[in-house]
Amino acid sequence: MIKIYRKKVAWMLMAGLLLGSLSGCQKKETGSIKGTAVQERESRPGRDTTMSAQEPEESKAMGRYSETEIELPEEIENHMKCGFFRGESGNLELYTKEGDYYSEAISDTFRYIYQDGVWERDEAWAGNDALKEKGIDLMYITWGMDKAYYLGGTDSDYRYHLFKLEEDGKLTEQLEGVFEPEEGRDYGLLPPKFQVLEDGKILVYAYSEAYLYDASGKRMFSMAKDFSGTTSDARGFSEGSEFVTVLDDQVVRYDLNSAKVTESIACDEIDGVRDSAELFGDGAGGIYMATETGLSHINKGGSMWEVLIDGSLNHMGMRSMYMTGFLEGDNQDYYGLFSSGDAGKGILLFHYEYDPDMAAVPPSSLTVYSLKDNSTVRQAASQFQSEHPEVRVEVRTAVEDGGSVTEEIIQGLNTELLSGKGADVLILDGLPAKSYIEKGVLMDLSGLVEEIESSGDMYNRLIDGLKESDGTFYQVPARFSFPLLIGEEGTLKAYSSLESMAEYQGERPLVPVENYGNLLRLTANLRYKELFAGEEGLADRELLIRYLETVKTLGDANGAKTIFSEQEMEEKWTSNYVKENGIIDNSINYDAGRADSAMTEADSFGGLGIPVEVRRLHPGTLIVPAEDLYLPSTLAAVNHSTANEELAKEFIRCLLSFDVQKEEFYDGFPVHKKAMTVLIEMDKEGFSMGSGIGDYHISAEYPSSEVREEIAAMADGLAVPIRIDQTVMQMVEDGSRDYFDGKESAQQAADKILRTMSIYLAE
Amino acid sequence: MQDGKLKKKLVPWLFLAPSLGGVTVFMGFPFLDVVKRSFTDTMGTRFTGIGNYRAVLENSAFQLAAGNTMRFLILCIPLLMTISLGLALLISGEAEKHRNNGVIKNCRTVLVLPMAVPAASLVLVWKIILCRDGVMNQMLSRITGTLWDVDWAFSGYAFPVLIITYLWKHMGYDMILWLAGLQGIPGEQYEAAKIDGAGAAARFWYITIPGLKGTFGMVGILSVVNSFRVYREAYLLAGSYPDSSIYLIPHLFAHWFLSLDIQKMTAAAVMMTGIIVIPAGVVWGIRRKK
Repeated sequence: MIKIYRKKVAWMLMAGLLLGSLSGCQKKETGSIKGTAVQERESRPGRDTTMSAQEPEESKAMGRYSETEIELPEEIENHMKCGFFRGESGNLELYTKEGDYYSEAISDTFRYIYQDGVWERDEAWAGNDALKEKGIDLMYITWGMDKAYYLGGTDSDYRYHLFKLEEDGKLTEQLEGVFEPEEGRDYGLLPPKFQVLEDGKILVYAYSEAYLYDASGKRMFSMAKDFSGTTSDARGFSEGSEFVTVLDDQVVRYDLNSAKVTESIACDEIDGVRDSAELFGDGAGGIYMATETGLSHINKGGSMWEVLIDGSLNHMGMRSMYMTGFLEGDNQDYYGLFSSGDAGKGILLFHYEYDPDMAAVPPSSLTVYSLKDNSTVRQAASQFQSEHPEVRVEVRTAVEDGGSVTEEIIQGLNTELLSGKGADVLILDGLPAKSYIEKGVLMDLSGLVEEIESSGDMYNRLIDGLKESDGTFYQVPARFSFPLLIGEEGTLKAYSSLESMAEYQGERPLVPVENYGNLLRLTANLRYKELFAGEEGLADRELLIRYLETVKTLGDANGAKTIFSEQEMEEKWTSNYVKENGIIDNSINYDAGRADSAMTEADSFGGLGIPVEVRRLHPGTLIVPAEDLYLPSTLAAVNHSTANEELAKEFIRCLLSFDVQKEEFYDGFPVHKKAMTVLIEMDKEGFSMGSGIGDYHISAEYPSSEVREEIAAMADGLAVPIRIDQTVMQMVEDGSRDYFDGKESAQQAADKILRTMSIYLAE
Repeated sequence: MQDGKLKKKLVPWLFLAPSLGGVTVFMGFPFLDVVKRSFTDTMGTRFTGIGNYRAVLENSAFQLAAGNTMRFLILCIPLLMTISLGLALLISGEAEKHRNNGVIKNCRTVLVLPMAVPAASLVLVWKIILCRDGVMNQMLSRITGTLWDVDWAFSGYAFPVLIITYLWKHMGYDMILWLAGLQGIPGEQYEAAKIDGAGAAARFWYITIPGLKGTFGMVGILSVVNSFRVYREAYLLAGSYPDSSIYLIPHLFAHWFLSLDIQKMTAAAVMMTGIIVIPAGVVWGIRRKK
């Protein structure tokens, strides 16, 4: 009897265990919330607090912050922002100046007040005259907690001064002597921000510290904070007796009486975002944090951040935008100030209001897959969403910054594609595009290309380069770069064939010293047509041997090695880094007389400052493209299995649109002609760059409009896209190492490479 | 009475059910999809008949990989089984003689240890030994007095290197299986044979071998299964495109999956399964008849 009873109990326990384990796998019904953000704030007007912006599509939750642009006075188009806050009257106040930061001249400053939906310039503002009288160029202005305006700026010697604007319009200097340079230094502290507390104490932000001064100018203590890497970093605010800032990638509260950290709050959003995060208080001890990912809030004593505004659905996440201010309005609304141009110019203001009738999550979604983070794609995603509020664009990036693409990542993507669940739009950079086309994974975009090309706005030849042999298009480039050769006319002729490269007899080596990995790759790119145009390509033994021998000749002449020691790298101005196309800007080697020519990959006007300067310094030197070759990038394609064909195509249109193309992200030139014109005409005065090794140094200005025009004109002649199979290239590199190290002959190396290559090609 | 019979038949299936269920859901059904895909194009939209099978059989990379895999199996399995059995006999015999000898006891642990070490760490050590400037070349140069400059993992020596790696890693595991089998043979049989004057060879041939009959099958199957895992070592040692002598089926499958040649991959997988399952089924059938 007891035996039977035990058996029954055992069966019941087993059944219970089984059911328990199965229910453990059940999908939870509670709202899923991205990252650390969960709902914990009190209900907003008309808002269902159990829903969040990250809820599944099936949810019918309503309510989301909508974004509208507030028009700013036209005259500030080229102004820079000096202050943005709610001032004396509680209205929004915007302070701008003409010219640049740290400019030698004293710029005119302007005050604008936002009232009844209109910005009005305050003609009676006394600040401008007062600053001129003192000879101060305004850098920062704020409304102190002691109900007075404070202004900071530099004098003609770049010494910083902080003033209180008195009611009579006069400036009274504060913290005198504090900003003087320390002994042995040329410049004193130039704080990006300061805050005046209720009791008159002044909190001055430095880069990795903030200092608290009493009204007499005596430094009370300093508090450590993270430095974002830019001189305009001013993440933090003070409220009551607290100073909130970022330290060790966490948001921390300092007690301003003891200078001790009283609370550290973990925050995923801070880690890895660009430097334009804004922190501000809610007046009740809570903290707001605005970043490119959106606006988050945490209550005092809370441990979870609540996402209020999803930055990926509006301009906050746009790559071309730089957040310069974020404020809370009166009705749980917010104002975000952004700069869309260089050096803080191109000011834009957006208003974020809660709309209870808007779906919490856009009803449609579009997924874009890219192996690596791509600023142009991100920009297009934000642009697309601002134009289509009903669509959420999810940009999926397989590899984080600095990570490498592994076979597992591509296998993971392939699994998704095979199951028909892959992303709608694929950015093919680094993906096996040829294979995807052959296997029918991608959609024929011929119609779309025809439509885009017919507008006449595009560099059609660059797009046509991606045409398949049967006339169809499966991929469209949104960016391009091209190899540029630098040298005298006679020297550059040597690049016309492998033979002439090998036979070059000059005073110095033809190519600056590089590791053999790069030498192989740059030769393959520069002689692309000769090496890859044939049916067999590098599988042709004779051609492969000739290629290896040419690279060896170049390497023997310039002292190349497969791996350099630390000392060699220092002496030869080179490194062991191998770039995919091998073309690393080595124009400084040419300038220093270390080689008879040099090369660079032209992917932006900004990146060509040094080569252009080198040309200027060496009369007779030319900068020419390598034949008609170009490197297409940001290759957009549509997944054949997509259920959002029209949206996917619309996204590609957006990617190639003027608005997206005109932004410069240093990831390639635009394929849009008008966007290129904008970049040519853009005012880049005052931009400079430098490069140097040891005692050698060269500095250059941003290429002039004329030079930019000259470079852009080269794009008209480009027609042949360089598309080298990187697996083959890696095989050549691996298989030729012993040859370059002098351990075997070119023939032996070629045979070894061909053995491996034949397996690859047979697969 | 009938209830008892039914219960007797049902109980084994009940015990098998969880495992069988898992295998059916996670392997059986997906394999049916593999079979289906082997007759269609990559995206499964067009029926291709036996076209994929033909393409695979004509593919020289497949021929090379299948040849190498078979060569590896034919050489390695008997070698592994023989060496591990030898070691098991040696250890069990020595353990019998020296019951309290700690060295003998630890011997088992030492031989099984390579199984416990992660493949990535093992391969790192192998690389240090086998690279051009590695320990092996330095040692041989010292012994022979001539310069040895062989890249063991990337030359014709890669195949023997892989065999040694495999044997070294799996020898201990197989030895433990053999030891378990040896323990199942009653000691009385050996004692009786000794009394009857049977020598060591006769005892091995007439008692040990028949006594290990059941263990043979299990060790054989596990060795074959483990041999497919050697790809991990081959990949870590020589990369995704190694010397052609150690280019195995898993290399090819990995590349086909990368290039989305799923149709070839599935056809090859069906054929490989057939090659393993059909002979195993035949053996099983013969044994059941007996």
